[in-house]
Amino acid sequence: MIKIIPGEWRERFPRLIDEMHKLRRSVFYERLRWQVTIINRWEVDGYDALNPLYVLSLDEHERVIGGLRLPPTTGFNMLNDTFPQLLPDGARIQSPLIWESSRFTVRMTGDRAVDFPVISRATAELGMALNEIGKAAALTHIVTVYDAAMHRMLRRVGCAGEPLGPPQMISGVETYAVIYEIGTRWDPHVRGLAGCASVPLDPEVVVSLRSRLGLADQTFSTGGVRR
Amino acid sequence: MHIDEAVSSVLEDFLREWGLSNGAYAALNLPTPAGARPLLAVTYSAEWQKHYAQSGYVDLDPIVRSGLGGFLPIDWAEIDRGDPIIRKFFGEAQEFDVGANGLTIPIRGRLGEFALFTITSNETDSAWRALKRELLRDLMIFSFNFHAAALHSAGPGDEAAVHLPLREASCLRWKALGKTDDDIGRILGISPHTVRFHLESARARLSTTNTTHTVARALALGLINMSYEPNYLLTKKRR
Repeated sequence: MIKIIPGEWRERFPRLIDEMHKLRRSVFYERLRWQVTIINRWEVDGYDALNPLYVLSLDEHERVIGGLRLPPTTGFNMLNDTFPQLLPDGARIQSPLIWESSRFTVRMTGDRAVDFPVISRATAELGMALNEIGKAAALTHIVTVYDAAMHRMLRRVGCAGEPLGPPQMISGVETYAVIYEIGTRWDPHVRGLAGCASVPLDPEVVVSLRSRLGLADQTFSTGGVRR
Repeated sequence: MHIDEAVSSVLEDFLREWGLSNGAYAALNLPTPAGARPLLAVTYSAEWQKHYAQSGYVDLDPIVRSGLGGFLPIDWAEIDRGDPIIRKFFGEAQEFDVGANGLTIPIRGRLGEFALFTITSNETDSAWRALKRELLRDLMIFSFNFHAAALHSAGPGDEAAVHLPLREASCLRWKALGKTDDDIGRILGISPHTVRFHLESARARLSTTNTTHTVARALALGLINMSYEPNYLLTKKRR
């Protein structure tokens, strides 16, 4: 199930926000050993302080198994302000119709047989949610920065983005800036992995998001989810 | 500080075009010496503006509070009116004919500034819902272009001459030559999705409203021309 939490509402969802930051710590700090900041057992940075939109994938016990965050590209964001070497010609990409996805994470145990179905489902669900949010917010594209390992993993699931250019080595990691076009019809393979035809969204946020984003009623299903 | 008349007249044109009641723009935290003062453009009646100021409503206005925290569009209908003070605020706004429905687009800028762009309407609720869906993308484009123009007129002086990255210039030039997104993708060895990404990025850079407008402005500013194409951009996808 997908839960969408605007950053400015983090106090209303303390458990989920806590789980997300701890999941990010275990993935980015403990497993990938990125140079990220840990504060009070959370991986958290300045872009979190700017209240991005958090998109979380929850399991049947409502535990966070994956997530990402979306800031607009008009303000401060990772591609423009952390990884400008990935910008074509070094020119900032900033449009109200292009948002950035960053800190994409999925829970992993290291056991591929256990991980693959979880990763596939959470990733497919998050990908479809991004597309629906993008449509509702009248966006044209989502841009994101990730490493070559992530690119390969997403390609296996059918969710890889389109590189804006050749990858660059950043701190010893092969890194891509990629785009997703909104409105892309997800192939049946991805929908199969997500286990649903439309994105199952937590009913609690549906009412508010419908009005905030002008969502059409059929955009998100809240019942009849095939598991 | 109120902005240029030339800029604010554009706001009135937009409202007329969409049959809207009022528009309001406010930018805060500007990187100018006068940055402490907000930059404003409003079409509300002078009486409401005066009442709003005298009542100190900027401190309790729920749209302002919500808009400065997040960046999602805010439909006024979603605001919780449980608090009698908030109910009174909306009641008075109605009396001063602000508009029955409202939609506010929060804007975040790269200079650390915040802005809110609001439109209001007196349509029926169902007509409003339909209108909102129809106008959202145009409103997002317009509000950001308006913000860019307002900043420019206030002169924070950040914007040097526009620089178009080669890929964007290249996509625009092929558009000017009548090519489709698919054609351009084939010529440049990229996907049509990526072509549209570059076109949108260029559109935002030039503060235009659609691809035709972007091509026209790029030509007028001499950012693209019809006779020259760097050879290396014509090579097929690098492997």
